Amino acid sequence: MEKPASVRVNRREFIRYGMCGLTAIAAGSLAWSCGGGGSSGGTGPPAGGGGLPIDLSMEETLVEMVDLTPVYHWVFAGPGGPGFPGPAIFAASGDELAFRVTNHLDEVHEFRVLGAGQGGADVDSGPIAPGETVEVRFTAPAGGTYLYLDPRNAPVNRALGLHGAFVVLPKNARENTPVNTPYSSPTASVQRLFDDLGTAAHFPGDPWIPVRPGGVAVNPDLPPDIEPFLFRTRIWMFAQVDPAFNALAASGANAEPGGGIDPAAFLQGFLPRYFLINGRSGAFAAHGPQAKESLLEGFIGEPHLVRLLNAGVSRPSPHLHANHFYVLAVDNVVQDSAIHIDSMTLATVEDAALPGRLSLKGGSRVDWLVAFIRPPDIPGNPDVPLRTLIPEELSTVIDGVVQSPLDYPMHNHTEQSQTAAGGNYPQGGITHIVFLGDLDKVPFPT
Amino acid sequence: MAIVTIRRGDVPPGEEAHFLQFVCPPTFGGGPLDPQAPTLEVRRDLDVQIDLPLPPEVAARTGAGRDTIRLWIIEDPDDSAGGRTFPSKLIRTREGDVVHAPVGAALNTHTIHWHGIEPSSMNDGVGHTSFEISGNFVYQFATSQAGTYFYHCHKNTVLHFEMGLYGLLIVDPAQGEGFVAANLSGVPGFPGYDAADFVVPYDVEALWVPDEFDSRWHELGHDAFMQDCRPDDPAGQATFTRDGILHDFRPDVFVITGVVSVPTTAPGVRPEVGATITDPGVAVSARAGDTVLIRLLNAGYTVQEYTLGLDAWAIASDGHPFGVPPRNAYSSPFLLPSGTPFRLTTARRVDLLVRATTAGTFPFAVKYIDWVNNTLYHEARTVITVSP
Repeated sequence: MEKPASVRVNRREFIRYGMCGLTAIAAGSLAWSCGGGGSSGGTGPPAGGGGLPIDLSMEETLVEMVDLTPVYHWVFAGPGGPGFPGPAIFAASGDELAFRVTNHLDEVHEFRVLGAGQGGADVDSGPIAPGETVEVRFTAPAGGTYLYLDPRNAPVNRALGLHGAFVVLPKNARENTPVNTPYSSPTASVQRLFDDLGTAAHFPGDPWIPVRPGGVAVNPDLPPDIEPFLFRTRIWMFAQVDPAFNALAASGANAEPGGGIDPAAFLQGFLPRYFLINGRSGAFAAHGPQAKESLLEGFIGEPHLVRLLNAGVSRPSPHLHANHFYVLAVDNVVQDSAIHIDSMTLATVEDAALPGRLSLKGGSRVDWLVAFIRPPDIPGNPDVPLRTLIPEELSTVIDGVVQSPLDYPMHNHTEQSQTAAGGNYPQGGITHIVFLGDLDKVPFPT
Repeated sequence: MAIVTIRRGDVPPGEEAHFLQFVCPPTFGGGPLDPQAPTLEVRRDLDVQIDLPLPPEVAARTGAGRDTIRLWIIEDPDDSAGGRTFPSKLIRTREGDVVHAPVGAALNTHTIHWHGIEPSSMNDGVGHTSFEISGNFVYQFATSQAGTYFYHCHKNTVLHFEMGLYGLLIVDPAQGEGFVAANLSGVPGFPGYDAADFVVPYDVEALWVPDEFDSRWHELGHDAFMQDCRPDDPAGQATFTRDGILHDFRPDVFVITGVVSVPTTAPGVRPEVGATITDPGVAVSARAGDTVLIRLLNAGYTVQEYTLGLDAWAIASDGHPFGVPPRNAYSSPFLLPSGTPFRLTTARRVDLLVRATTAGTFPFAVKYIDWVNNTLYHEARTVITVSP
């Protein structure tokens, strides 16, 4: 484990580091639009732009589960306030970054970015005492999907909410060219896959577009600071909650020696009761403006990248309907063989040493390409647009819901995860994939 | 300082009907919609209750101590002899088929999701994105890619899939049964490989579907622990049940393709190890020189770890053959050396190709591992027997 330059600072001291080359920004939190967001939710200013350090703090918060049960958590907060998960942070490979991490909790915590250091080492703050601020500086690694978390007493602190996504785009991703993959050093097969999007006969439509072109938001329901980066990209942070342990933490327990929570007992006794993707469950992650940060939504021929992360202590088996997906990278290893499957294993952070070919064992950070091809098993002439081929379906209304556009689930197939509070199927770890219209970008009738 | 609350939020305006559909799917019938001329019709009815006998060694370890466990299966009503099996009866189609599947739901409401097949939304069999069947509906889908799929009920899926409402769905390549799609360029030793059409013949087909049951769940009703339906307030606090157990999976019965694994270890001793299953529906018999195709599906809720005592080539996953153009050309088959453990989570499939070169008995083991705490619940065993 690498320990880059860490500067211990007093929390009242204001330190400004002039840094250059921070071309992408720590642009807010997936949680900023979370149900009104609490006292400091809503929208927040961009952080980390203009060479400023990125301020993160560790905070107490209550997170309402899908059945409105409030559950105590420890979470990371960005300028927009606390988030569950913590703010999604975007940077470009090679950026000089500084994170200023303040511990507002009552016990020692730590900040780590898995695999983001030199040669794949972790970036780590070292212990951060209550009330202390530690600055962590490092160079943004190769393009990929990274997980930041509190590694102390694993998996306790991470599972109690101290985690978030750190996304690195290749250099020049904003200009979209010549970059056409999410990686700084793609394998030959991944490069060929992205080259074929929009050019090969079997992938009619668009190439993958790393950053939304132009200056106007196309998805106004997303937080404005990250909207450009989620144009044809989604982040799915999987988490599981056993409120019994959160209640212990709320009562003052922690997993430090003598703190009342034994990490081994935590792992043995953890019985997840709520299952979340980006901090939401069930219908709230599938329908409505607040779901847009998770929902895969596009026209046929609009390929999307999905960055899946598992911060929890179970091993989800996410299954996508309507399209198989390509496995591009597993724990930041870009795949030589990009398999095309419909269900995938997400491992835990601790599973890194499991045997087996990467794509079979899965990882805690996995990238998919969803090519958004026309669902291939709709019978009929493939040259006829679906709006002409299946008009009866697209005009069917059942109990007030029109069956257009074409709506399908993506869900964890380990079906215990499709519950909340022991039942209430399917209010668990799920979101949807929606096909809005045909290849010619004519919407399906609604 | 006051603790910030991150709120769930209310049902967004205009989304009430979608939120109600999400937890209380409507019913529908008829079909097929937008029909195309079928090349194959497959009928299925659900659900049918069967009681799977449990050997005394297994019954004694279940909570209820019963000598059977209640399953729900999907029946083939056109097969008077063998239509009621667990797993539910295999469906075989060919690449390029247009399938019409009249499905009857005589008891309660159900759906069938054709897992890995990618049809239109109303033919995808997911209640909360379309409807549940009350009565009859004719699903329509094509089978555009040869490979290993399965079908299962997608209502209250956590329970209905557990109860046995599933079966394999195999799409054979155009050459028919006995051939499998694969790209074996650079993979030696499989006679008859057709490099132009990317198919290879096989002599023996094994269908290995490890699953496990929590016997407590098998006492529940169809709608167990589902949310109340409140059209005016579909996500209201009072609509949620809070006394359910469907997040708490404690398997106590372990099967491979419907055959119960009988423990040989004393009760309470972990890991529990089963006697070698010799049932001809599971154990494989081949002759030296045969090509054996193994279609493997994790139909359970544990992480399953498999070990095979023969070299095997992984040639496909989830119905899609590695390396076969155009859309699967970005991958390649890989060798799983004899004795190398590998894992699959729920619903994943892998197709393995084995060349039986020498006579002998070769073990296959399945470890059923808790998806959270890594408890090894059970190890089930069977064999591939290769005769000279």
